[in-house]
Amino acid sequence: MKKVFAAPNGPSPLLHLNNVRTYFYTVEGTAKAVDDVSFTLNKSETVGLLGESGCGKSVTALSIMRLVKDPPGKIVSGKILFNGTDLLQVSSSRMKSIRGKRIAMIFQEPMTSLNPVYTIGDQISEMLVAHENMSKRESWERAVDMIAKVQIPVPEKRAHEYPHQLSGGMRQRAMIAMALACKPEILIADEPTTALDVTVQAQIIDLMLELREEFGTAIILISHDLGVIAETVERIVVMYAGKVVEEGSTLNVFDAPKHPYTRGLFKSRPKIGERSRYGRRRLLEIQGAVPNLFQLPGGCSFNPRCVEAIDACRETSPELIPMGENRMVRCHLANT
Amino acid sequence: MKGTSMIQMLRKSPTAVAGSIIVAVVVLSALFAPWISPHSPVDTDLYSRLKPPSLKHPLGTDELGRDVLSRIIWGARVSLKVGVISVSIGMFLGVFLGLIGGYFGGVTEKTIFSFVDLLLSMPSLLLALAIVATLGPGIVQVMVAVGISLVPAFARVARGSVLTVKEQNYVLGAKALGASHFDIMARYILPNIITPIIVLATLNCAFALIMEAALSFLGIGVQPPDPTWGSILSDGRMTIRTASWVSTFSGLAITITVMGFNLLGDGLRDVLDPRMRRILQAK
Repeated sequence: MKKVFAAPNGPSPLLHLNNVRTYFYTVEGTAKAVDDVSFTLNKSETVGLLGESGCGKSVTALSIMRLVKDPPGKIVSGKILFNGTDLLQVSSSRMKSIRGKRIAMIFQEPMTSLNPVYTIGDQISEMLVAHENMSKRESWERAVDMIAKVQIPVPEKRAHEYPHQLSGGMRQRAMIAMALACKPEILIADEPTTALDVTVQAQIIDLMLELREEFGTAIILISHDLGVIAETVERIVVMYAGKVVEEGSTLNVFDAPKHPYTRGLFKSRPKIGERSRYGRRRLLEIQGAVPNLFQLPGGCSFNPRCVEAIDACRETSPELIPMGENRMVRCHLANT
Repeated sequence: MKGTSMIQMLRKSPTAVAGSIIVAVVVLSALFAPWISPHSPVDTDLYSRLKPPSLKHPLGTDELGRDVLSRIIWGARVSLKVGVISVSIGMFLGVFLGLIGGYFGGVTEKTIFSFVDLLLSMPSLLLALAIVATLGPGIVQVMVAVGISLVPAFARVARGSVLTVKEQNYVLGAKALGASHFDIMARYILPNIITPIIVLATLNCAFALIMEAALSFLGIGVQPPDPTWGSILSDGRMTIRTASWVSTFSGLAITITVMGFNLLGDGLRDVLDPRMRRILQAK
């Protein structure tokens, strides 16, 4: 059952998840929100976690940060190797010093992710005082610097403003400034652009990529938005019902998706210009709904919705099958 | 900037204005008692016992010939001191317990709140009586007793607010950026639960005042000859048929001040509640 991943060639990975399982124990039963997830993130690489709501993307991220709410959640087994150290084994005070300083995370809701009672300058400089032992004045200057870096105009003035005085896009920029203030090695961005309008989305994505160039930060981008993922990341990890179903370079996955679920995702995207060629056509969708995590179907979790399912899919759960360089697919039909 | 807008909005709420004026008058007369009281509050004058209100004694004299107005003005000092200090004791202890219990949850919360509920199950006057009976009468004991009887209210309100605030995104965000439990409680949770606490503190000042008056009325509060509103009321009880002014005016002082604190508390609640704020801004 257990498959140990060999680290990919080249430099040793910055972050390596090895068979991580995070379960939620509730009165309704046990939900395997993250079930045997393994993937690797290299230095200054961008990896996208793609999947529908409830597929375990966010819980995977929270597991890396060790912020899964306990109870009811628990990281049951696995290893999360950060520069070779297993984050699941370090003390909670050590973990606190890693969060924010070496691995930072930003969230979907920029409207509610900032403390309403302090100015954004205060909040950024507080991070620096806590993690970098800076003096108040020094940290304030760095905070203003960071606000300028995330392209908020008139940073000296904006630093004195409260979150409610800023727009959604500005707040997400402020969050990014906060997250990058200590130059972390990894930035986990959980749907950072979902709550923003499209033009602002593009600006935020560009900004994250520019800052990656500047700070060399590796990024894990969590999204259900294929467009955002395609523009941003080098490698994609597709998740379904708590499991990784496909992994590969963005180019390969977009060019030739191997898993029926990934193919379904791509087909359910409207394409500009298609109507003129084929006439009016109904947008394709994946039949059915995301399975209830308490009652997963037997065999492959995707089989009830899969148009290509065969008997084997209903009986045994497929393993991740390597398909060439850094490419994996969890499907019985992958090689046919 | 936030402060000025709050004061501007307080001014638009008539109840808050009335409450603030009453509280301000009481506080100022307590502060300036030595200068504004026409007579000494403790000097007796046996030639003018139980005199009705006159120009010399605007609110009359009591059975030892002491000037009632002066005693009420000086009594404001004691009453306010007891009110403010006992509310502070109750607030600090209660908010501390509520914050710790609400934030950590689990066994910590169960332990703290079974103790708080035990306190809550006893009538507060009885509880205060028991504490004063154990510690002995005196102003400090009264403050402690009233303060402890206020702990459950603050602890419950604090816990309720903590439970809402700790689920907010910015708390998770703070954890993701490496904030410690102490940071989160001090910088993220406490400032965001302070609004209901301030309102409760103002309202409870009125309650503490009544408790002090009640304890002093019963003779186990502040000891004579120091004047407090409760003891003046109690002194006047004997002569209420012949000289009603002693009890009437001290009772009025209690009633008006309590009303002032309640009006101010209600006004503050309106101003600090964002939904009400919009209505007030529209005015």
